Amino acid sequence: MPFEALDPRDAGRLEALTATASGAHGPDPEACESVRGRVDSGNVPLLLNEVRYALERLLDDGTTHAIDVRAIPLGPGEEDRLLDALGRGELRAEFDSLGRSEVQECAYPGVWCVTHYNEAGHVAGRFLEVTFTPALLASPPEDVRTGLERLAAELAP
Amino acid sequence: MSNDTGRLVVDPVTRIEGHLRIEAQLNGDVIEQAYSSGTMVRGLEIILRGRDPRDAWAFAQRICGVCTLVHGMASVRSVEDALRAPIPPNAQAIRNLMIAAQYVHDHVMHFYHLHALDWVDVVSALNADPKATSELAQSISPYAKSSPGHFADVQRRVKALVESGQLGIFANAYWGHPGYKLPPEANLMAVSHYLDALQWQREVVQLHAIFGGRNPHPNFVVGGVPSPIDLNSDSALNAKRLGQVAEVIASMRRFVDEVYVPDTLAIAGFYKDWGAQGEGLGNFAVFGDFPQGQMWEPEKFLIPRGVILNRNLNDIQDFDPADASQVQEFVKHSWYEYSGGKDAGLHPWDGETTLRYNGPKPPYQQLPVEQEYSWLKSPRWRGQAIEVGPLARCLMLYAKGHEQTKELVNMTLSKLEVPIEALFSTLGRTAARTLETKIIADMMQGIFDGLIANVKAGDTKTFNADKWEPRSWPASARGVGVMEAPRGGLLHYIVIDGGRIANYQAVVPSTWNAGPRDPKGQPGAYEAALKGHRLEVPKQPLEILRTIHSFDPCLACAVHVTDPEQGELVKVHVSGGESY
Amino acid sequence: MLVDPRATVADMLRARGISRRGFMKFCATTASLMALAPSMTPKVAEALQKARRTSVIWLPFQECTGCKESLTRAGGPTLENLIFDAISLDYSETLMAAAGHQAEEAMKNAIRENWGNYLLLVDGSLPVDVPEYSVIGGVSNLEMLKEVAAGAKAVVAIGTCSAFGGLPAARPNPTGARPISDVVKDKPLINVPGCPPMPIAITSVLVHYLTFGTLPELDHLNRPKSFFGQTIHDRCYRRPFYERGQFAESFDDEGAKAGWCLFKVGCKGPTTYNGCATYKWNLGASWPVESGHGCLGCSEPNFWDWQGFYNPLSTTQWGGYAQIGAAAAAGAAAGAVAALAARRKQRPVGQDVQEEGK
Repeated sequence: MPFEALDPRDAGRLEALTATASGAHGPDPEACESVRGRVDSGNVPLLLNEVRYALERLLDDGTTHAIDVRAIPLGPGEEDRLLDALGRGELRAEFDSLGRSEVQECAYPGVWCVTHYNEAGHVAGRFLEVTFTPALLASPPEDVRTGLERLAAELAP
Repeated sequence: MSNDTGRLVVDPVTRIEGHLRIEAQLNGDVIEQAYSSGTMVRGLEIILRGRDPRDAWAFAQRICGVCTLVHGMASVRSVEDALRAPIPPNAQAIRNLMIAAQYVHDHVMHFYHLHALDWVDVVSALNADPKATSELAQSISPYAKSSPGHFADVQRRVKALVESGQLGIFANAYWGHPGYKLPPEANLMAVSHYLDALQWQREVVQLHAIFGGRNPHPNFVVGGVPSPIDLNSDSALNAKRLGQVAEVIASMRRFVDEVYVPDTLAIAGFYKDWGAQGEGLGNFAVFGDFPQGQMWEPEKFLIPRGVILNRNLNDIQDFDPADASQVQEFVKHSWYEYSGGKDAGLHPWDGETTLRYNGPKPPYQQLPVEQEYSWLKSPRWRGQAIEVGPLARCLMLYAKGHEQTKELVNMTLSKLEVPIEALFSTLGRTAARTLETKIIADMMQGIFDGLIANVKAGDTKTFNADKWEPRSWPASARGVGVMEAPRGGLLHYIVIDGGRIANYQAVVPSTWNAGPRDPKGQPGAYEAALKGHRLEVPKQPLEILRTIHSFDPCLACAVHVTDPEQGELVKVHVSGGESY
Repeated sequence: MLVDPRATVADMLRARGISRRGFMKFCATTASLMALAPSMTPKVAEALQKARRTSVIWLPFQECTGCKESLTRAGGPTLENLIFDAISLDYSETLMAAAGHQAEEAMKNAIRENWGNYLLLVDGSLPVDVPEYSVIGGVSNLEMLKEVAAGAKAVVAIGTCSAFGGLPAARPNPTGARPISDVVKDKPLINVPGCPPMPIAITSVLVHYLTFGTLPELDHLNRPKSFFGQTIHDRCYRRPFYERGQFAESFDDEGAKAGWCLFKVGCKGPTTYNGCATYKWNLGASWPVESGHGCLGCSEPNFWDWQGFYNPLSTTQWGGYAQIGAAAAAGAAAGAVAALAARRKQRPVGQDVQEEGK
């Protein structure tokens, strides 16, 4: 769930959890207002700035850029906050091969979040691509050729 | 391989933890006597001596990476027992959840990845009809991944592997052995679940990662658990993480109910004759676990403590690990020496061992079983050889009137149409492991609910610092860490002197089960269970694997040494008189 | 369709009906696994197009099976992806169906058929002086290692025991346990330490070898630089608390709950080179520091004999105390330091593949 921000301070989640588990009441909401345990490694703003400069280059000379999110040391909750900050744009595509994959345009056009899941539904890779069109959206010539052969076979007398 | 003296050797016994060798003396095609040997030693308990008792768990945990957790847990318990350091209820609940998760994870992996290939012929799965397989699967379970397309995919995958000529882990096995009885469709279903279980297990061990940082080898701390509870913190146990734990518990229960239990029953139906062989000793011990208070309150254990002798479920004996007349270890047939002679038996607090290898120089063909033949010792309870493990626990719960156990056991017996005596067998041992998994998976929900209720009531304490500093400790103390590991009862004995470990000894499940003969000539559980097996194809001793795997051997656990009296390094004598 | 006996990875995927787009996805995640920049994906695709399934033999010595268990936890590629599509795991006592002499025979076949080309993985240390301490099938581990290593293309020591001696070699090393490197002298050797190693550290070496036919770039301890290039401390999300001088003093005090630095409860992150802080354990569920326990230092030589898991690192080991004082005073500069900690470990485009020609 790349864009589902799960706020650990959401007391309602514990409420829901316990309601199904034991049917009792949740903690006092007032006790949950403190944010003393917020994680901030400093890396989220850094990444957002990297994206910003990559967008400038994209417009300047068409240079594309990609960031492997898995390679960044992020603290608990920070990946959700990063994706939250990038938001969701107009376009979204999915395909299913060796597990599902999602190509989601972010709220800032030219920024794409590509998430690959494995066959078990776990994230196998997540990339921020700064480009006009992510390469995976195009049909690969090899697949076009196989498809053509299939179609020709269908039409064969 | 069998040689002209009628000795059949299986070494390595694969699909287990560690280095196990079985030698069987054959009379024709029947096993007359069997000998079990552990062939690797590391000397962990010597390494522990002189160290900080609070560090011991990390060392002890590396006794085994399969039942990872159990030795770490037994170790922190031994220190807490020695110091009488109570742990907070939340910490006890979290530990119980971690132990339970270990059971469910370990038993499922044992069944599918270590044991199943004794009953399931992978190559036969190529002949299955995916549609018929789907019908079979759907007739026994509502499990989602049961469509004809799914089974066709799995079959295509296996086929590509077989046709590549590089079978990898499936190469050169006993495929086609007449002992394999499943129809191709059941084989394909089992292969599919082999793969599903691999995927499932890596999801459910997340419970260990959440509480202990990682798996294998999650972290513990003497006095509680390392991870604090704070609903307002990103980096503590918060609502999100507890929610993940709830999901893991649900996933465990679902897989056990929809896959593991139905598969066990379905496969067992083709192997009912295995309900009449492989019993072994008929003596069983359970040390108890899942404390509802502190560990020194065994009356509050969810899995009760006791000993069963000669199959008698009506007369449960009391067990006390601290009683020197109850637990003793012998080395008559082990490569160790005792200062009191080879016939002595020692309680672990007074245990001593000196490595003394006098076996044949490798490479060797056969071990001299009349002399020493193993790195395992022979533990005994009041002089009796006993079996520990899931069957012992199932019998104990049954004997003590545990309702769910009685229901499950009776359901299984009636479904398979076998008498209650079938419990005492290879099949009974394997089925007991499955039933126990269901009992424990279901138990997790209650433990989790208790944890949540406690947190909601305002108690977030997870660590008791009162006995953390060594200056708060007595000058000397000794304790025993008790637990029921998935493979059976486990005891860690510690002696603390001046804030350091003076002696440490682990008496582990696979020593009880896999140990060699004692001074009275009584065989261990493996040795007894193999006796009388008829081998259909003696060159391919599938029957030996079936019975040995039904115990779920864990050999790294079983080999351990101490040398409490001498400060110097242990001396080793190798045959030929050289000393190292 | 009949698959070629020496099928390529691409063949195995095609036999399963995977499209080219799926293959490119596979290559993208594979590049990421090897810590290559995303722009390297086409190079990876080119190499994987030709890469043939590799024979792998895994020998267990003085071990606990934790390393093999760790591999089963790998999220991508998974163990099943590997054994079906990428490698032929021809000997692994933990997983193989065959036993006894048929298992030995399977190994002999693999050695004969792939002489000079198979990858040898070893977990566990080796008792060299007294080979009788660890014997399989009547043959000492020492002899077995010599025999099997002779035909291997390269040897990979999996886990701290085989890489550095590990637990059996901890003081007083009662069995004379040694690392594999004490015996294997004439083969390329790579160490993948950790107790156990992170699954991704194991799979990335396998996949690198499979893809490029070479070993990745190594550090002075023969560890892959891409994975072991920085300390836990450098990549730790709790580092800003360290810089501000905010430390947990116990396991459930206010600092522990707020996620403050675990240095004072014994964290060995500053002297430990490993990838836990970046990749996290068990499909990203957590990692030791995130779950409140200091790093044990398990990927370092002799970590068992450092000064205890709960004692803070001493000045002699690291010079840490002086830095703590400075850090506490320089709280305002924390932002800048955190940014430094974010440096990624990816190498410049092209560098990796240039290595491959060697």
